[in-house]
Amino acid sequence: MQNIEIKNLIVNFDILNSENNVVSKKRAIDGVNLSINEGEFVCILGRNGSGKSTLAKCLNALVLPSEGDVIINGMNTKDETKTLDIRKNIGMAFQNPDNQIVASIVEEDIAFGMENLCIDSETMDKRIDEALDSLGIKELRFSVTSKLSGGQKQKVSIAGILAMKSKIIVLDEPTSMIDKNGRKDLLDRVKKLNKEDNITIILISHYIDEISYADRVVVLDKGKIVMDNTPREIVLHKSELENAGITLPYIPNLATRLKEHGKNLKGNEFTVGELCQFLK
Amino acid sequence: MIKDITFGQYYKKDSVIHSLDPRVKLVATLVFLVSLFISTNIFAYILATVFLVSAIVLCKVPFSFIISGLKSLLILLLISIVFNIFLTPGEKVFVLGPISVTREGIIIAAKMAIRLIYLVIGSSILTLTTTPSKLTDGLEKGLGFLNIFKVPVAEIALMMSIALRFIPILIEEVDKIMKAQTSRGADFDKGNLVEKAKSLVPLLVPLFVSAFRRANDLAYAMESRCYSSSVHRTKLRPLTYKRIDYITYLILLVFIVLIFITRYIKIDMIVL
Repeated sequence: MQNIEIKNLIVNFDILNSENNVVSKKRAIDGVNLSINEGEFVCILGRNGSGKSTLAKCLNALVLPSEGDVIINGMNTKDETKTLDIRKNIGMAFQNPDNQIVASIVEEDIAFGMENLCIDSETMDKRIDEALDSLGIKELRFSVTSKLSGGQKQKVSIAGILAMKSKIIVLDEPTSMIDKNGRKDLLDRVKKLNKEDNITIILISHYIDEISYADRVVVLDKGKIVMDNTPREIVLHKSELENAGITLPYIPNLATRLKEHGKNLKGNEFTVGELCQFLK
Repeated sequence: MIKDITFGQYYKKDSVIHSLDPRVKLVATLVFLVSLFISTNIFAYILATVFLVSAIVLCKVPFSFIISGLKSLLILLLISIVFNIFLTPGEKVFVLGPISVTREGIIIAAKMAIRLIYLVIGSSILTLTTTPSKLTDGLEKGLGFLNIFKVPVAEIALMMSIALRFIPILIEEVDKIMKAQTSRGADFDKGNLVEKAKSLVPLLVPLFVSAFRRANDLAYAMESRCYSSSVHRTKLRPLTYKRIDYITYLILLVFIVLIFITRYIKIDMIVL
């Protein structure tokens, strides 16, 4: 079963002058074709302004296509009667965790989405527990949201999506405001959700280090898909990545350069362990 | 600087007052405020004092914490007392050159002081014992009947709770912008009032810009979580009245009736 189907997607933004007249159009997404299957962990990679956030917003009808279609589980985002259903299927966490938390107390924030879906309070209670448990933040249930750390806030916002039982989760640069340890912890949890609960994860990022979590990497540049492959394949194409404004992560870069110097490596080693294999 | 505002802060404690339904507490505060302004003689003030003291005792919040909200009221209180004492015409008690203190002035000033102090303490007890979200819940349900007049009560309540949630974030933001501007030579403490007000412009503009950006982000986040003002929403913790709430309502009724009765007690001694 196909989860997400994007066909010839084009998104134009109007550029307005001071009198609110359209002076020109900026093409943010330029002819994207992409299909993502249930249970995949896809990383969408691109530099600033490559159109990745716009693509994410297209997925749950926050941005509508100028041309082409976005179809989620058979529902077209252009169909306004389906908008709520689409948003039930796709949950989204945004970049700045401060700006997406609605309530002052963790459990109330997690309940927000469920309240919108008119779920009764006993079910909500149970689901809040489950969601917090699966992200390992059960002790934060009654905490004040403004006093949490960046990583914890981001987990709370993901818990809010989990509680809505979304089968697809889009994470729009969730780690950009979090320190390195928090980032690893968050992504480990997300990976676990993907593996254990078969939740489709779409991770939007500009940190190439994060591609090691994904099954598949889609590189976006100037609104077009320039690469679509597994992480191990992607890192073999150093010059193409650099054209898209992305530099290789440290270890694959080292491996690639050793290979350039005539060493017998594959050039797509991701971990120190793999490099050690070569040194033996 | 901005961090020491206690007014409107929740003090966590396990007490009868804390466990009351927020609607009851809202009504109680309202009744208390009304009673202060219809009090005409000393019996009414004694009644109000008894009411307030029992609330203070029952809510288990330290007394020093409750009265800390009075600090911000001090100047207002002083001004109203001074003006009332010196500027009310009547029977002169004390004359000092052109200034005279009248008996009526002292009485009005004392009434004013008691009313203001009680008012602040009374509403502090409400906000100290009720979380902001409970408070907005209470308002939402308590004013639900306004829906008939097409007043979007639920939306207004949600707006209020979001505003409350963003207060700490915006305070942090002000702090950040102030530091950034100070590091580039801005001075917020110097000069007279006009200069001080002017120096706030470079603070307010970025604050508003960032607030609008946050609002935009939040709207996206809410929409993506299926929020829509047209659909009915359920509640995680729906409000229901318990026995204690009905008892409190009864006490309130007795209280307000007693206050009304005191209006008909005629005494000539110190007519407060």
